[in-house]
Amino acid sequence: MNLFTSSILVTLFMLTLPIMMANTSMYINKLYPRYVKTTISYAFMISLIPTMMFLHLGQDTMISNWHWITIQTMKLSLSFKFDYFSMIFVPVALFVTWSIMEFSIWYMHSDPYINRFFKYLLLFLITMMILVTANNMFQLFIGWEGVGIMSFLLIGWWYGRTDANTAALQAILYNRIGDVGFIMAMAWFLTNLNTWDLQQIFMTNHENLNIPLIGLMLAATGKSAQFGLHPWLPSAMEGPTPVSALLHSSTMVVAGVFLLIRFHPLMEHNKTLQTITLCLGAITTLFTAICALTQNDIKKIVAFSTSSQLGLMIVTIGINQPYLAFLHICTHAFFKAMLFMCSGSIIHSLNDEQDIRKMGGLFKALPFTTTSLIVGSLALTGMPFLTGFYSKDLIIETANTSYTNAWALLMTLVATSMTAAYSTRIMFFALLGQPRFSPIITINENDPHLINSIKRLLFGSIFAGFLISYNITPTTTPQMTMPHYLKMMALIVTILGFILALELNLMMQNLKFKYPSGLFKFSNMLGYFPTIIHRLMPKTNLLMGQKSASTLLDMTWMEKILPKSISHFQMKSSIAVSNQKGLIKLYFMSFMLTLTLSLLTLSFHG
Amino acid sequence: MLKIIVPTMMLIPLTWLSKPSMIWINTTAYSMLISLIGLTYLNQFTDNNLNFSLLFFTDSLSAPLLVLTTWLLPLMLMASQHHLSKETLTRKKLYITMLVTLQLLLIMTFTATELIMFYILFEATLMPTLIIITRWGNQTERLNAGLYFLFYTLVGSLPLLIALLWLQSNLGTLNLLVIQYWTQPLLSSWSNTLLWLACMMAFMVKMPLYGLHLWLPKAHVEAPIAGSMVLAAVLLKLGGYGMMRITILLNPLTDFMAYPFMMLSLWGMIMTSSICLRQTDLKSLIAYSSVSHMALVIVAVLIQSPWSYMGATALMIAHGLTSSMLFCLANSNYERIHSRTMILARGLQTLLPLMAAWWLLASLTNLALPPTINLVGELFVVMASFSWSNITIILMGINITITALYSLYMLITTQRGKYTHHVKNIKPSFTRENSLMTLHLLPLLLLSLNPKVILGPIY
Repeated sequence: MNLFTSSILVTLFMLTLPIMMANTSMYINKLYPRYVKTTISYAFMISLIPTMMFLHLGQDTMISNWHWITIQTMKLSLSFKFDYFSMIFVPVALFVTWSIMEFSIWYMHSDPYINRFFKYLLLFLITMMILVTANNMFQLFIGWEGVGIMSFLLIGWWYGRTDANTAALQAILYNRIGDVGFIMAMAWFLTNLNTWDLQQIFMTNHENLNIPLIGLMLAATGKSAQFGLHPWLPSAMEGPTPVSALLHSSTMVVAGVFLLIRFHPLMEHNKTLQTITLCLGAITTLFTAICALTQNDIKKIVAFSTSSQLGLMIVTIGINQPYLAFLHICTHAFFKAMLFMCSGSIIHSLNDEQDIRKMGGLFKALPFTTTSLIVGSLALTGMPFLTGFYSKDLIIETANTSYTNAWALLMTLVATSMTAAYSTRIMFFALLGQPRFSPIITINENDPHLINSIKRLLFGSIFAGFLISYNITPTTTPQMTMPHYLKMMALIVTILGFILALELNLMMQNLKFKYPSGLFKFSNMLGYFPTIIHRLMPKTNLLMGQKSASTLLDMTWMEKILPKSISHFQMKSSIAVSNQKGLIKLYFMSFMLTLTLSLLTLSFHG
Repeated sequence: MLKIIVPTMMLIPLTWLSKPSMIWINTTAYSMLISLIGLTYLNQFTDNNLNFSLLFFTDSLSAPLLVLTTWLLPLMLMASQHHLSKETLTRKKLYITMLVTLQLLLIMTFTATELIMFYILFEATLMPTLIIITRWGNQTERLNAGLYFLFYTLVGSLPLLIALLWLQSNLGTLNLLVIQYWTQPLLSSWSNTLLWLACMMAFMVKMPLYGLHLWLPKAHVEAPIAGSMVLAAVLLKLGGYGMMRITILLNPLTDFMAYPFMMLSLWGMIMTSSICLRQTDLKSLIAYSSVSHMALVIVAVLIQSPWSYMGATALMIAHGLTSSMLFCLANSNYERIHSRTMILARGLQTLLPLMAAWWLLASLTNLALPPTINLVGELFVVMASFSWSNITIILMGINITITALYSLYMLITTQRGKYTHHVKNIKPSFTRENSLMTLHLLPLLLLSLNPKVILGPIY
């Protein structure tokens, strides 16, 4: 059993090696990116050992190494939790990161600071690992904030661009609102349960857990871009494509869902929170799917589909199936990272062109990318026996057969159908038909870094779902019997979405584009959300900061009330009380007059 | 205690007798050595305190502040070198003498046993600070700033003298070690309310409390770099330190009297944070951010729970180092751009990448990134205020969000974006500056490993 903890610690420790190497001459070496990539691949392979052991023995492990501080009755120590969730997630994350690192070698090869980029990506991975394996809330918070800050740095990678900086700040703002929820939950646990250790929190019974759960919910909403706090995710596409692939699709954004999964033992019996979660997830998945329908930026579409899938995961938590949600996290990581990498390949080949209307006919020019993109899209829509199928189909089935909010269910089904629709749209516009890009562009996808990285994830997108769901034991009893139409529902809505979208695209392609309808504008303008929230709120807040806090209170009233008024009254009263008026001439004149008069009177007296 | 005080005093002859080329190096090196002596006080091996004599003692509350004070003198000296490079030798020596005097007074303030002695030294620190601000500030507004600084603090602290005299005649002693056993419960009455106000207002002004904070942005903006550093890092902490010391006399009245001040602080921290969002002046932004952070300390001290005291102590140290570092960074920009306006210094990351790294780390510590001690401080304060009243989490949450926003806004405006044409031929960052930033950051990072030493006497 010793091999278990030691090998997992080796995995985690290995990841820090390239960071430490950043102080040596290794860091100014051209080979640093490859070094990082190889380290991660080794870490992945080593991490398979404990995962296999876990799958074999099914034994949770918790290790506490280093005692940090004891405050009154609360002990905080460095503590790792290797249970089902972290043991499955660690290899998945490492595998995906490995591919993305290799992809970045190709994608970022002309960047002068490529070494720093790799260091940032690796730092992000480390914070993610901290988040996943943390056993107490403080450590979780370190990882939680760490991924947020690394996302800020990576979105703002091209810091010369205003958009990138704005997007980075936006991401931090929304994440920070979520963090408030996290801190609230921490505060509640501290005051009421006097612990931040996960086991101890789960052990304690408390009748009313609404406050901490709402806090955690808020945290998840911020981090996983759920409705209300969602706009940062599509904006985050300003970052380089590898960043979108790693952070904003497969790892960081699922941290919120992961948090809810971690704290699921508390949520299990809280019906109110479950309903809220369910509705929130359903709204998110539908709303973002609607937004995805009319976007033209290929990365934006994929980003919205990520948001939609995150909504689906939250729905799954809402129907009390955290294990399914976790399965979807794992499977989703493969094909979503690959979709981003494929769009990265297209974007790079077309000289940074992201508009799908200016692509077309890429199946001839980029056959490998096309294949992967189609497989990825099919996996995303839940095509049977691709990776997405194993989780998505199960989620829809379970939702269909559970006694739950039918409205939320309907929303989820509609969103599922839309997934197929916007996937069709990408394939139709980018890959099929006639080329609409500039003919002078030379397209070449035959770089081993690109091919290998996508290929690895391609195999993942086909087989990973099977492998993962084959190897893990089902934790909840699956629904064994159900009517045909329920069983086929997921597939039917998806196929319906495909056919409808294809027909519409074919039919509309040669029609004249009329003045857009209100529905189109709603979808294209992202539900007017950024217009309202990103204009009105900051404007009022900044105006308040300027007008009322700064100008009115600080510069006027506080100046007036204390210093200015005191000096004013002093001045006035001193003038009123004193006889001195400063009329020097008059004083001298009167002095002279009296003097002469007295002299005269004295002299004439005698 | 003399082994710190005497060497610090001897820094003055050292300054005046050194060769002209050696004045900076000698004083910096020796003051650094002195600060290393002070480090031993962090090891508080008894639960109570270390008594050095009848006049001086330290306990785990004053020791971190003492170390912070001694640590800051070499840093101030390093930061001021460029600022004074055009002055004559005598003025340089005078300047260093002022800094050394200030440090001497601060050390004695933090270790004073008698409250009256504490009061006298507390007031005495005003003089060197005032001279530093009004003599070496950059603009004519410095005179006004000095006036505000002096009058706010004096008016606030004169009632304290009367209160202390009354307490002395009533209790028979003002010895901090004895007084906690002799103190009578302060019941609610008009005269006691006045006593409470007299005792607290001096420190509230010093902190500063929102509403009485006007002197701070002015003084910070106009002060030369060393003045800003010592103001932000240590002088504000005198307020927190004094409050924590004197509250033992004021119970149980504090529970009742705290409400208006809590409200002011909670409200004020949001107001000052939102002022930060609109600042164009870099130093003013950092100054307002100090007000907002110190409001947290006021809240924590007024709540008076173990967690809040720990949070307040940790936050004071963390904020001392962070804000001092931010002022240093602002100064290094100012020395290159010759303006404090942020928009004139944008895009500096391209030109000064290492400086950008310092900016990043300073901003991150300012917004309390885990696991820095800033977070430890803030988190403890939030926990304490949450258990005091659940609703405060809303205000705290807003403040946390805005703090993150303005810290990163500051980072983005100064470091990111395209650089402007007039900054093309600026000087590279000097080793002096880089080591200055490192010396700020190292304690921050090392203390994160073991925050126990700065959690104060309750820990």
